Amino acid sequence: MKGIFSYGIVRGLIGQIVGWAAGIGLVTGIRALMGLAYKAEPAWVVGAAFGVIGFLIGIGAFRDWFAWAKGEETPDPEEIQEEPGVKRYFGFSLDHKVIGVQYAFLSLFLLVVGGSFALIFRVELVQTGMQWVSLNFFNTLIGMHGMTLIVSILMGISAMSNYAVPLLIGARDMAFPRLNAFSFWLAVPASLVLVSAIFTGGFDTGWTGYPPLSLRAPMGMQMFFVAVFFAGWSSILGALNLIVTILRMRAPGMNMFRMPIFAWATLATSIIALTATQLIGTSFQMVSFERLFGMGFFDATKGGNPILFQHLFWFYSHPAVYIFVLPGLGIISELLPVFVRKPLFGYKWVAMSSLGIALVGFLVWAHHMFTSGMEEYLRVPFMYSTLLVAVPTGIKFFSWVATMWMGRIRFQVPMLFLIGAIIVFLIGGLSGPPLGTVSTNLHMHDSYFVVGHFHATMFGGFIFPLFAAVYYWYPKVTGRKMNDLLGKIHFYLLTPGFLIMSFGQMQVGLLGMRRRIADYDPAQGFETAHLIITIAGFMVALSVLIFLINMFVSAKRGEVVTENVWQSRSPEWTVLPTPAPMHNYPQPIRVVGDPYDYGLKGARYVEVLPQQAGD
Amino acid sequence: MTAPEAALTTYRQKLANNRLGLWLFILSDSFVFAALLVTRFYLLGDKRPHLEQELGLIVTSVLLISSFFANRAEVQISKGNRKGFLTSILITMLLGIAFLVGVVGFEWRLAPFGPADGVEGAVFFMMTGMHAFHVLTGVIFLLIVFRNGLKGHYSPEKHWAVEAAANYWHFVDVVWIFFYPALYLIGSL
Amino acid sequence: MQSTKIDELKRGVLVFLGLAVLTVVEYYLGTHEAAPIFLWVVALLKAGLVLVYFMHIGRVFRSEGEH
Ligand code: HEM
Ligand SMILES: [Cu+2]
Repeated sequence: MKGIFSYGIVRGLIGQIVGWAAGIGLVTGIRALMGLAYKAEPAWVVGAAFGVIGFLIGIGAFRDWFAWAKGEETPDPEEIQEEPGVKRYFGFSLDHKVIGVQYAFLSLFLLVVGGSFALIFRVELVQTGMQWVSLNFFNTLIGMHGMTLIVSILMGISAMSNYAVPLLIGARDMAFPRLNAFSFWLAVPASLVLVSAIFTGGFDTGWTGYPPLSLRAPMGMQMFFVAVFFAGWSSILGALNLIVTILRMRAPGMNMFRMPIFAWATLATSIIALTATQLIGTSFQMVSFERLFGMGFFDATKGGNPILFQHLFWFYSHPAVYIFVLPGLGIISELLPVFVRKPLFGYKWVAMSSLGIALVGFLVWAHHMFTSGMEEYLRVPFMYSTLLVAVPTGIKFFSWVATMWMGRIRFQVPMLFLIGAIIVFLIGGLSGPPLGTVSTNLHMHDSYFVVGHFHATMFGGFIFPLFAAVYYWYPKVTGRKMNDLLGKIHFYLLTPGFLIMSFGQMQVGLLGMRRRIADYDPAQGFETAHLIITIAGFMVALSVLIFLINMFVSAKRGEVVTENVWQSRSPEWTVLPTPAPMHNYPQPIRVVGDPYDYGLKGARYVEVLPQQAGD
Repeated sequence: MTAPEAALTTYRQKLANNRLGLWLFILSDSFVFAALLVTRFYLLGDKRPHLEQELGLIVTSVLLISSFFANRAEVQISKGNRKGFLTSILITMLLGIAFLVGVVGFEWRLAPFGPADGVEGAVFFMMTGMHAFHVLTGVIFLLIVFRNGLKGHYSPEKHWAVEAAANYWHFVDVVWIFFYPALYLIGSL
Repeated sequence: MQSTKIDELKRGVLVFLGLAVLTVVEYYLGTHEAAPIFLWVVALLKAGLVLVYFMHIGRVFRSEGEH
C-alpha cells in the first residue's frame, strides 16, 4: 500500500463508508426479501453501527486479534519499533504517548466543533424572536453542543491519563497496548456518527435524550444513540486498561501511597467509567429499540414508565460529571507542588478524597429528578447524599490552599491555569448545594442557573486543568516550549470571559430564563444580559483560538528544551530525555521516596537501577 | 534465569494482567444485566410474564450442565489431558447451542406476546435477547478455542485462552442464575 | 501437584451437584409461591458457588499468575 493509503485513518474512513453502505444495503435487502418497503431508520441505524466496525477493520484494529483467533502468534508490543515521524499519529500506533496525543487532537477537534455550535445558538439568543436558525436546528445545536463536548471531555481525560499515567508510574507502556489503540480508534468513527446526526434530521431533546420526546424526535436521535453507545465503549475499555495499568504496572518501590495523585484520580475516575457507563448505553439502547421494534419500556400507553429512563440515565450521567472533573482535580494536585515548591498538603487525604467522591457520586443521581414526578420519599435522602459530596470536595480545596500557603509561587503559564481552575471550580462547586437542596431546586431546575453551574464546574474541573497539563507536558511531547506571551494572553482572555459568561448565565437563570429554549419574552428584561453572555462566549472562543495557534506554531518555532523545564521531581522529567523516547524508560527505575517533597533537603524520589546483566 | 524460564515469568505476569482485565470486563458487563433486572422489577413489579415453566427449567439445566463442562475443560487442560479437554469444550459448545435453540427457537415463539405487546414483551425480549447475544459470543469464543485446541495450541502451563473462554461462559451462566428466577419464578402471573 | 488436580475434577462434580440441588429447590419454591426473598437467597448461593469454584475469583488477587 502506497501513498495516501498508508495513512491508517484514510483506510479507516473508507472502511466506514463501505460498512455504512453495507449496513443500509443489508437491512434493505432483508426487508425486500420479507416483502417490506425501504425504511430509513432501521437501515441507517445498522449502517451507522456497521460503519464503525468498518472503520476499525479498515485501520487494522482487529488484525492481531484475528490472528490470535486463527492461532497465530503476533509480536510482543514491547518489541515493536515503530518508525518515528508524523505518520504514526495518523494510524494504529501502540505507543501510549502517541495515543495520548491522538486523544488530545480528537478532544480539541471536538472542542472546536462543539464550541462553534454554541456560538451559533448564542447569537440567536442575543435578541428575542427568531433571527437566523430554525427551531429544530436550534434544538439540534443545543443537544449536539452538549454531547460533542461530553465526548470531547472524555477524550481529553483519556489524553491526559494515557500520556501521563504510564510515565508517572514508571511503566513502559499501558497493560494492554492493542486494546488502548482500539479504544481510541473506536471513538473516531463514533464522533463522526455523532456529527452525522445533524445531517439526518437532527433531534430536539438536548443531550439527555429523555423519552417520550426522544421517541418522536427525527432520525438524528438514532445517530446520537449509536454514537454515544460506541463512545461509551471506548471510555469503558480505556478505563479497564488504566485500572490494570495502575494496579499492576507500577515501578518497584512505588506502593499505593507513593503513587502520584494523578494516578489516584485516574483510578477513581476509571472505576466510575468502567461501571456506570454501561447504564447510559443500556438506557439509550432501550429507547432505540422502542423506536425500532415498538418495545414499550417508556411508553405509558403500553404500561411503560418514562421515569425509569431518568433513573437509568442519571445513574451514569451524574457519576459522569465526576469522570469529567476528577482527573482535572488530580492535575491540580499533581502540578501545584511543582510551581509552589512545597510538598502537597495532606497527600493521603487527597488520594482518598478522589475515591470518596467516586463512591458517594454513585448515590446521588436522583438530584436531577426532584421535579420529574418520581417517588416523593426519594427526595430527602438524595438531597442529603448530594450535600455529602461537598465533604471530600472540600478536602481538596483545603489541600490546595494549604499547599499554596507560604509557598514560593512561580507564576508560569501552567500555574496561572491552576489558579484559574481553583477559582472557577470553587464557583461551580458553590452553586451546587443550592441545586442539591430540594426546596431551592424546585425553582431553579431547568433554568439557566443550572447551565451556569455546570459550566463553572466543568471549566474549573476540566478545561483549565487540561490547558495547564498541555502547557506543562507539551515540551515532553515536542521538545519545545509553548510561547509564554501567547499563553498569558490566552489565560487573561479566558478567565474574565468565562467568569462573565458563567455569572451571566446564573443571573438570567435566577430571573427566569429557561434552558434549551430558543426564544424568550422581551418583558423579562434580560436581553442585555444575553448580549453580554454572548460576547463573553466569543471571548472564550477567541482565547481557545489563540491557544490552538500557539500549539501549532510552537511545534516548529518554540524555544527548544532538553532538560527539566519546570524543575519537577517526577521521573518523566528527571530520568527521561526530552522528547520522550519510545517504550519510555530505557533502564528500570525504583521509587525510594515520596513524590511531592519539594524543598525538603535530601529528599529522594526515584533512582535508576543498573541494567540487569544478560539483558 | 534461562531463556525459557524468563519467558514463563513474563507469561505469568501477563497472565495476571489479563485475568484482572477480564474480571473488570465482567464487572462492567454485569452492570448491563443489573440495569435490565432493575427494569424488570421497576416496570413489572410482582407480576411475571406468562412463560413455559418446563421449558424454563430445561434451558436452565442445560446451561448449568454446560458450565460444569466448561470447568471440566479447563481442569483437563491444566492436567495435560488434551482429549478430555477437547471433548469437554465440544460438549459445552453444543449445550450452549441447545440453550440458544431453547430460548430463541422455542420460548420466543411460544410466548403469548411479541416485543411490541406491552411492557411484559419488552422486558422479556430485552432480557433474553441481551443474554442470548452473550451466549452467542460465548459459543463463538469456545469455537475458536476448540479449533486452536485441535491444532494443539494449549499446554498445562499456558492456556489463558481456555481459562478466559471458560470464565466468560461461567459469567453468562451467572447472569442466567439471576434472570431465570426473575423471569420465571418471582411474582405471580 | 497431581493429587490436587484430581481433587479439582471431583470438586467440579460436587459443585455441580450442589448447583443442581439448589436449582430443584428454587423451582419448587418458585412454583409454590414462596416469598421472593428465598429465591434471591438461592440465586445468590448459586452465583457464589460458580464465582468461587468455577471462576476462581480468588486467583485474581494473586500477583503471581499461574493456572
Ligand atoms: C464536581 C463537579 C460537578 C459537575 C461537573 C457538575 C455537573 C453538573 C451538570 C452537568 C448538571 C446538569 C444536568 C442537567 O442537564 O440537568 C448538574 C446539575 C446539578 N448539579 Fe452539578 N456538578 C458538579 C458538582 C455539583 C455539586 C458539588 C453539587 C451539589 C452539592 C451539584 C448538584 C447538582 C444538582 C442538584 C444538579 C441538578 C440541577 C437541576 O437540573 O435542577 N453538582 N451538575
Ligand atoms: Cu448530578
